[in-house]
Amino acid sequence: MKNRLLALVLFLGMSFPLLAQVKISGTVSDSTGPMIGASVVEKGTANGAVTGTDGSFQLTVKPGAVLVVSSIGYKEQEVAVGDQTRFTLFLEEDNELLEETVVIGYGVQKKSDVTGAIASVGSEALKNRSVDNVAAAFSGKTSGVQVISSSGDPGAIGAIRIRGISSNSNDASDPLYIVDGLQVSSLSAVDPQNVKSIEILKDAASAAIYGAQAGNGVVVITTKTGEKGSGKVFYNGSYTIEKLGIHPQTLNARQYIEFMEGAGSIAQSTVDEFWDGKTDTDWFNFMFPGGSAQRHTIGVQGANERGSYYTSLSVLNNDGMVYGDRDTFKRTNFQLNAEYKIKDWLKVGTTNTFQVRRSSYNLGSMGGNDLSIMAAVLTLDPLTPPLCGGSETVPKYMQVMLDNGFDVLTAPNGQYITTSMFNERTANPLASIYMYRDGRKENLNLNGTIYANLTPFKGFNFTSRFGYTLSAAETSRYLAPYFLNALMQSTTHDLSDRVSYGLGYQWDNFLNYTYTLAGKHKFDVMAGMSYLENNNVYIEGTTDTLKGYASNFWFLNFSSDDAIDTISGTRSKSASLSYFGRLGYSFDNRYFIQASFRADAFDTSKLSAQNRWGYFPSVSAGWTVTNEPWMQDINKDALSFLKFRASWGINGNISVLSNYQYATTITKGASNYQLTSGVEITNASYPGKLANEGLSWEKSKQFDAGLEARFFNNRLSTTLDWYIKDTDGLIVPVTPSFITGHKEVYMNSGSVRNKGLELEFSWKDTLGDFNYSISGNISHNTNLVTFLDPTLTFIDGTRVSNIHYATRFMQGYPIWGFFGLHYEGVNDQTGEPIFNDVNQDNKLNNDDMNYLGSSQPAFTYGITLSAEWKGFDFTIFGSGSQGNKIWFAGLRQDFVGRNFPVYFYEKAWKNPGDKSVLPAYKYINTTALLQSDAVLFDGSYFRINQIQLGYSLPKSLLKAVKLGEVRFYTSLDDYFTFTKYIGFDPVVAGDDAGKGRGIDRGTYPTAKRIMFGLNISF
Amino acid sequence: MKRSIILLVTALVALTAISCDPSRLDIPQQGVLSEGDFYQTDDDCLEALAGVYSGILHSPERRMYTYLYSFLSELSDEVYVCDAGYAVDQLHSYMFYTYDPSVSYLSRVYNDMYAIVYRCNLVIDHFSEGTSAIQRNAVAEAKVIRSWIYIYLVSMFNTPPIVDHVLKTNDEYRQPNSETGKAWEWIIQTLDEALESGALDSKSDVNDKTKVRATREFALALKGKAQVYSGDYAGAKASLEQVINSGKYALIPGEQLGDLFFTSQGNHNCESIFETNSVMTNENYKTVSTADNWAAYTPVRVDKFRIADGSFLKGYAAGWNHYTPTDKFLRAIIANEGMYSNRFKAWIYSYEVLLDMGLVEFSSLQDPSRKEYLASTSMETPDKNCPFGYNVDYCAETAGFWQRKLTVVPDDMYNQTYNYSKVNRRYFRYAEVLLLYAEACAQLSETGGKGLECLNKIAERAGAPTYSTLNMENVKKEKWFEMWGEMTRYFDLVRWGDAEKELSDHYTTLPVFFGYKEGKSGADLNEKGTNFDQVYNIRYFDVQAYTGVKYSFQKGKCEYLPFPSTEIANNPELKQNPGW
Repeated sequence: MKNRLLALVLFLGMSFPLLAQVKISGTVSDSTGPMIGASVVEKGTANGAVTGTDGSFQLTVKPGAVLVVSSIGYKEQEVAVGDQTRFTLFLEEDNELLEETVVIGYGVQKKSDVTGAIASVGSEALKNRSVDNVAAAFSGKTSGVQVISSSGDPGAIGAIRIRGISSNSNDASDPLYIVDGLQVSSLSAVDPQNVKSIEILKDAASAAIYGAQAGNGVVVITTKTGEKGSGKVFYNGSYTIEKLGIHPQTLNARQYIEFMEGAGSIAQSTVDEFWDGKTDTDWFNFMFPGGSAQRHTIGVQGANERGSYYTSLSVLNNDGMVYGDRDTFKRTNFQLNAEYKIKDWLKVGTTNTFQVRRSSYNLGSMGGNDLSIMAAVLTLDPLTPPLCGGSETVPKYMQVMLDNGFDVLTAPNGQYITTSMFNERTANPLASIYMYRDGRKENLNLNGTIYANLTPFKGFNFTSRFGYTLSAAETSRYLAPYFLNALMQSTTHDLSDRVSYGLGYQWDNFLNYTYTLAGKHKFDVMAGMSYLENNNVYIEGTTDTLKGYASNFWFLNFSSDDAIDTISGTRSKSASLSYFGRLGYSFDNRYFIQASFRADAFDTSKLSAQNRWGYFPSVSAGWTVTNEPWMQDINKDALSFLKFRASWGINGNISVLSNYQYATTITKGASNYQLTSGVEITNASYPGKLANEGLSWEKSKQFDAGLEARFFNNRLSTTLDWYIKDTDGLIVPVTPSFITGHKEVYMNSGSVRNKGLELEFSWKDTLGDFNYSISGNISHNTNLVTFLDPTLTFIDGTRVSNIHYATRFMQGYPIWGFFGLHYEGVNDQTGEPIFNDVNQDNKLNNDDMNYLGSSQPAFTYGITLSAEWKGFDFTIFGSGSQGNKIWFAGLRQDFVGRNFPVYFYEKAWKNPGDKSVLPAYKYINTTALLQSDAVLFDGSYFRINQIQLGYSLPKSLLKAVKLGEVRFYTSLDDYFTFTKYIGFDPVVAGDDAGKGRGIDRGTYPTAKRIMFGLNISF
Repeated sequence: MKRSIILLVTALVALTAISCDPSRLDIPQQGVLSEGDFYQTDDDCLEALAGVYSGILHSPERRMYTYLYSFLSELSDEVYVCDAGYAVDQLHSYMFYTYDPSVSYLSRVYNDMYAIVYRCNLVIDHFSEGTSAIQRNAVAEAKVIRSWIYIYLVSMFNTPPIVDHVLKTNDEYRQPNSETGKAWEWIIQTLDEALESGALDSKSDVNDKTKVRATREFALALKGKAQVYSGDYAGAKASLEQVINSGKYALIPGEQLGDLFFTSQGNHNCESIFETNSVMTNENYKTVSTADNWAAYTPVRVDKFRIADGSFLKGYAAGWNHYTPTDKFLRAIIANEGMYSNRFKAWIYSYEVLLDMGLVEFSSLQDPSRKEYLASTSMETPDKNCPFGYNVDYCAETAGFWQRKLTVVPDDMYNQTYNYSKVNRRYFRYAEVLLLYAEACAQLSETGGKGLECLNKIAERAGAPTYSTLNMENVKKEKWFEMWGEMTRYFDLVRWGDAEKELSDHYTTLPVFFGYKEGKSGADLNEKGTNFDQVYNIRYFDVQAYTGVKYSFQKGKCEYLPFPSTEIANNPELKQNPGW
């Protein structure tokens, strides 16, 4: 490959005349027809030609010369000239995996040399997807990686978990993100369309080069660079229609009345009094009329022997599927990547992403509370009409409110937003939208790098890279007074605005040196350092009274003189310094061994100056069996490639430490007191916590063993990995004796083990004009808390129904396993529920809680089928999860009249002798049942994420109009989901990716989408 | 090649250039001081002392007063807790004696109290050698506050560990139980130290509202209380006499009792000996208020009324639960002084008072099912299913009377938000001094004299019949009526050995109120209101029949609260109280 490039470069760089001896000509074509821009070079010289638009070339060569014909993405071919002067050459596409390289920390490596577990996702997997963020795009595409979404809200980004969850801290399980060498805090600024490749460093040895921050794996993203050849202009556009993916069936009016009367929750007379006898609202249909999105990307790219450029501008405009326009997301992305070789020994380059995101107030983030619109859709009764007034009758009780002078909330069309008379603690979802008169989030990001590569002599490469991140954000909202009923009302205005900006920089210097001794001994050395600094500032203000309430007064500037204003803000900084090195040795492409080491120091907000350094070693080895001399006789058509590898290493997790947790300090003015009879305030100052000076980061030790094999002339390839990852030193809030005056001290006193198996496979083949491939992956992970400080029996996780902690962090169980009463069934004579009274004391309480299951799946898997035939292409991609549980938390025993999925109605006990799943109506919305696994469901699903059919116009046709590619496609994205779950959407069910995972209170569900798209390039 | 070498060298220099400066990693923490730099000046001392008082006002768990109230009032025979939307089972569990050492309010109160002790110790340890008046005063006040907290701790837990200095090492974090007698001695001795230091401030006269911290008289009153509680009646008499003779405290006039005692208007009134201090303005109310949600625990929950004619009531209803007087207390106090005494009116809202005051009013909405329900059921039948589909946890347990004492009215809340009450929490008042004095005298078998005088001052002010003789029976009765809901009754019953007798079965039935009986109105009440049960539509709900569990005070166990289970787990030296 290198030689070929060198040849091309040399050829293009020289243009002096040669002594003509033999004049030859010909054409180069590939499976689709004549090839433009293929190079034909006389072997061993700089003499060559490039094919024109019709694939033809002319060249004068020495007699007996050999032609080297090549083009990027094709197998190089050598042809002896002989006596022939006219050539018809055919280039075969290069599907050879051996040539692939993968990006590893501070370098690249040939895929065949890799000794760690690195998953690669190419740009093909991300192309033409309707999802707008990278995480969602690679979800299901590779093993060992899970993307956990807690919301399908436009613009929401899922959390990435690599090889299970290894920390009890919710924020501390994110992997490290590296984009073009730059460490970033989230992938939100990355437009999937600009991504060339994603590498996921899963095992400790691969990740150890990133040390203290890599305990949860590393996601390395490389953005596109210009491809060699003549410059290209491209346009990609799509239009997407969004609809509610899963419509859970909740009780209709008839069922609701029967249930509530049967349960004794609502009296017949109340129904007669307040129901008009015909309203039967389907809140899902009403609240999810559907949405749309459009996206346009235009760009140019190109490269020659000296330089390359890639630039694109992309706009996305998404109005989500919720009623009205309060779930919008708009994004503009600009990418500019360029590189130039100034001297033979000096190359400089830059990568830049500029992004503006605007979204309306995030409805998804309102999940979980009583005013959440998603919870309301699921729990509001069908007897209440969404709107009244205007042409619709105003119910009597609403009229009473109006008559009493209450300021009843109205929708933009002037109609009143109806409050339920049957369900006094659940707000109409429209009310939850419109009580926020204003709400928006705006983010600006400018991230990039500038780098120089110095290559003074062969095999030596020194890189100095300066990266920067600049971000600015504004979040503002205005909550006006509202009156829904006596329990749900507010008389205050609440306007807040938060502005922040961040400036970070990163300077990496590292050198790579490759040396080959006697052709067989290959050494790789890498050494370097990195300094990283982030500065953040924010200012936030709120006010509760404005000079006027028209929309042009909704700014802090118009806070009235007697308003109560608050202001907060600070400037913060974080920094780290690291040294790292890697040493690799391979012998004859058969034996590989690699060791790396990193030393990290963090700033004093995380660790004390004495305690700041951490050291992270790793070692890995590989053995390519098929390169052994004794293997050369075997049939490569059956076994083409076989490699064993193993690795071990230590990583850290620094994100659990922040805010000077180790320090004993006096908190000044944490509260205050008036020591005299006047208004004068004295700050109250005292040690804010019981400090633990020895506090340190979490450490993960991971062992990985892998096998890579390819069969049938590389058509079938498989990778199998087994790993065991022990994370120690989890920071847990240990309760000291209260007599210390404190109730918590943070200690490194918890351990978690993740253990798993990952399998990937792909099959690629061609049958005449028909190309097809199948690839898939399946991952299995088990997770166990192996140690928790003995003073803690368990740590409570997330509360459901306002009383019960449904998840616990407890030794011997998976992280944040579900705990509750075990529901054993129904007394078929009385309809009473039966629970497992563990200690047989006739009381159901905390002592009777059982482990009930986990939100973590036993298996996750993905499968992609693609096929091509005469310009048609077809892709079907699906992914799934098996064995995870979901806690349906939409009910509350203290809130009467909540609606729920029809399951609870249909499966309830009705008459003596019934063999039912659930007890009688009146036992359903009760404390005991809602604390039990009667509301815990299998959350397994299989979702078909993409069914795409495309057609590319024939190149011969396009040539006439000077177009390179025109492709139309249509796609059904996230369209079909197979699940037994009774709630909204099993894929996004949960408060968060940690302790609240799998607790479903109603979150913004995933949309199913129909997409129409067009790709053009010339 | 030469150039290559130069490049290599340059590269290596660049590589190491930045590395030399790890001081870039030193980022000072904002808004804190190092422990060594603090505790030096008078200003530091005042900030440390503010930590003590703010620990009382904004306790770490935020609701020390609220949680203490829920325990101590429910464990005695004073109140029912009703409609606890939040932690419903826990609040009811105290009332029914079904709680266990793991209930969260218990550990919260325990944590709050030891946090205050810790902050007192920070002042005492760092400034006991202090020479300035401010420092000497702060140390004395910290000792008083620590003793005050310990009176609760010993009364509640009997043998709480004594923590008399800031604990420094892991070994010190494990302290054993105290011995009750020695604990009382230590409390009294500490109060003496504070008193003898001469550093405590004192009110100038009865109308002085400027002494908002622990005063000399507070220390004396606490000493007297500790002496009564530990059985040193002669000592108590001497201590309490000093408070009485100081002339700096007086009872609020009877007719102003309701207006002054528990409103913001009465902050630092003449009767108050110790209360938290908040001087609120529009600018500061969020930071200086108690924000303990107390107001949310005590509103009159109009929304839970069940009115016989089916009408809804409108009015002030925000909050989570409310407390109402027990049937037993109501009948006793009405028999003693009727429904119209100064005291009764100040302590309790009756139904017609609520209507008269306009605190509640009828709306035009009706729920006819209520009327139907009453018509369909005979009045005295215990009903297993609570009316209207509400389960037992949500019944408004009342005989038509609601707590007024300590209830924060909307006018006393900023923005009518129950987080921000303008009323100071009154922890100790002069009436208790008089009653403790009367008790000390009665325990010493005095039957008249100053002890009787003190007792009758209370009764007179209340508008209740006075006593002709001093004895424990009269002291007990008067203290019950006067100190109702002020967290002394439970300790008193245990001290007097009356707990088993008084607390064994008073929660077996709970009253449910349905407005006036058919055809009756407030005008049908007799002069003292003693015939209220002929006018009010009250039905009794048989709790034990409903749940099948007998709730009861258990002798040898329920006298003291259990140590929180977390504390037993985390302090191996600590032994649990008997029976738990």
